[in-house]
Amino acid sequence: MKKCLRSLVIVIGLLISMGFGVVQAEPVTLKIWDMMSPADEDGLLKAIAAFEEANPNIRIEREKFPFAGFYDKLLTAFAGNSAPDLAPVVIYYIPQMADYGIFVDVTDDVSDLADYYYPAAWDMGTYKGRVVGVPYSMDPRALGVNTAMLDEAGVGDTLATWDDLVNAAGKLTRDSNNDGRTDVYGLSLPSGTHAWVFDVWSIFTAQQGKRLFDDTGKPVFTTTEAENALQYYADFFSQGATTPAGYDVALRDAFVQEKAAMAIDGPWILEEMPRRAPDIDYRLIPIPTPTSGVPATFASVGVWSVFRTSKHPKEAAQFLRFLTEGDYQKDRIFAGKTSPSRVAYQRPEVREYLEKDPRHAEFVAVMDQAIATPKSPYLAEILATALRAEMEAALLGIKPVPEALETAQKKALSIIQ
Amino acid sequence: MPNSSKHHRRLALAGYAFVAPGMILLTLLWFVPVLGALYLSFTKYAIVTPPQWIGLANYKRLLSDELFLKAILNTAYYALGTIPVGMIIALILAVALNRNLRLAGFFRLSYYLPVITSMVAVSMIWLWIYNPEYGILNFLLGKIGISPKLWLAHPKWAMPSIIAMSIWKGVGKNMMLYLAGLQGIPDQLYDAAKVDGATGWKTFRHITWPLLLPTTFFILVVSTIGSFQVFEQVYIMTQGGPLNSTTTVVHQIYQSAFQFFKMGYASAQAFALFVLIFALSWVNNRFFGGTVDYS
Repeated sequence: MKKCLRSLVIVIGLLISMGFGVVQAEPVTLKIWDMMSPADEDGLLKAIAAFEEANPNIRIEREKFPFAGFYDKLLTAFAGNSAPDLAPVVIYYIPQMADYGIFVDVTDDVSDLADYYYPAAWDMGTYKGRVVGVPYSMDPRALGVNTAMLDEAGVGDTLATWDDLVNAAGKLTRDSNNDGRTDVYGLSLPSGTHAWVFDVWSIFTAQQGKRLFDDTGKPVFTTTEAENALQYYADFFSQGATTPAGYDVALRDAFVQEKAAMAIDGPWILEEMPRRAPDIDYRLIPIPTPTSGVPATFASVGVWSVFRTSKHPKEAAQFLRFLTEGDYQKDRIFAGKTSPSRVAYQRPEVREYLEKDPRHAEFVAVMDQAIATPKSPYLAEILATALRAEMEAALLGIKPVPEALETAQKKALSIIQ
Repeated sequence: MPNSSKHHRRLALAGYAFVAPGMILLTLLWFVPVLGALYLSFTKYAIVTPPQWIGLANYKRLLSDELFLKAILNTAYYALGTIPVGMIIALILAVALNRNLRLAGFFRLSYYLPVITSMVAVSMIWLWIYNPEYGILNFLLGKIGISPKLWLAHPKWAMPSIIAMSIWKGVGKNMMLYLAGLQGIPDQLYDAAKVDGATGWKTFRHITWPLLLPTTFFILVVSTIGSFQVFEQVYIMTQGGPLNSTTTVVHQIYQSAFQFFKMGYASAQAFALFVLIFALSWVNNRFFGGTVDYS
């Protein structure tokens, strides 16, 4: 009896010590800052809830900011050592911040996820061969066309080449109220200080097989292709076939108000048209290419990155993986957002969704031909100080295109040096 | 006498104690950051990496920075456009409202309201006023046969458009200062002038204007300092374009610091602005301050 009792005590003691010996996962709190739109926010909140459920020891504290000034806040928070663990970073901020070593290298944690994403999107999250961010958004550009206006002007269905586009734009430009002033334009193109001027120029250049920055981040603005692209762009203005410079700050307004029959736009048009102009019948087509050119478009990409000051980089990388492998991208697609994830678009429920939304499907169709923002850490400065004024001058016809690009190239190189 | 010096010492200590909180705050929130910025102006500093001493390189770069030099010229253009016109309009309004008019209070309030309205809100409204297609300005001009202008999109019109908007916004403040100045002029002087048969213009020229010189000088100095710090309306309405025709010194500082992450260079630009404003204030004081008789 005593022996039995002793054995029982030993067994119980062993069981208890095993219980105490089991390593409890240390509770971790991840801080996320973001500037998501309401449509994007829902998907993120669901993902956070699902991640916390799947990882009970990790809690996520999320703080939302307006987009304007978000990166100023991030920078100053980083300098003050109070940056979040994770934040979304977009366009030229990615190479700029990566160059300063702000992000954690998550290559070892997520490099196997590359095949989930379209190449341009995944590439945007890499810097000098290392993965510094996982894509969460990809917004390619397509050509929106007002079908009624095209039919009325007798412009056919074929808008495949640069010549088709220029001819159509010319036919669609008119004085609708006979007051001697053109008030309806064939095409609405960005101009002036609009951030998309560079993007559209990039598209026309890429369609000839060239880029505006080489693989080392050096600007190459003076190639024949770059000059042809900017000249083609400028011709729309000189022929009066596009909304004049300064016509309106937001391009989409001209399309929504039927002041322009066509417009190069991104997936934001999918949200705005039903709200602002539900009666306009429009379709989306790939941006026309030059004869013997290659299909190409531009896509702005956003990535989730882990900050160097994070005390929990492994857990943060775990969240990045969860965003990829879970339902986050599917939820974004259902909220009307285009996704950088090719795997998400292959899900049966998403395919079914796309069948009912052919316009969204058009954006998906051009994802593979998309190029993203050049990965030059000097891009913001080059755009603002070297390129913008020269592009403006070329588009307004104040300076010949070759001269404008020559000047821009010199200024850009001096910035890099 | 020992008691007297002890008393004076006590009084002095009390004085220092009273000004101490303000001086400490001023030191911590102004002197220290300014000295910090001065140090940073001699460094390469990207806010996320430690400052790296580079001596005078930032200042040398300033001298060959065409865009910064253009920004200085644009800022000077803005100042020359806003200061004299704004002061003249403010003086006219102040003289007109310095009477026992009915609704004088209403008019003073109306002219002062833009002053206290946020520049961001004002800029957004004026973006619509200047809109080439839907803006009320082009609509009204169209009624009198003037063709629509690309106010903010044409290099010739963009800065004058910003100047006009800034004058509209700021005239109320100077008007109130002039009103205060006018109300400080004794009525007996006007009575005496009336008795002597002086006309309105003679009264203004020989009584009002000379006695308003202290106010005028103050407005001139403060307006000069303020106009050289123009930023919000440029940032919101034109982002420095078109063709860099509206970029200003503070806009360049903002871009260098928060868009290009070049805090060191931005600090050097800020000190260049300080030197410029200091020089202008000295010129104002030298050439106009001497004409002011505060007695």
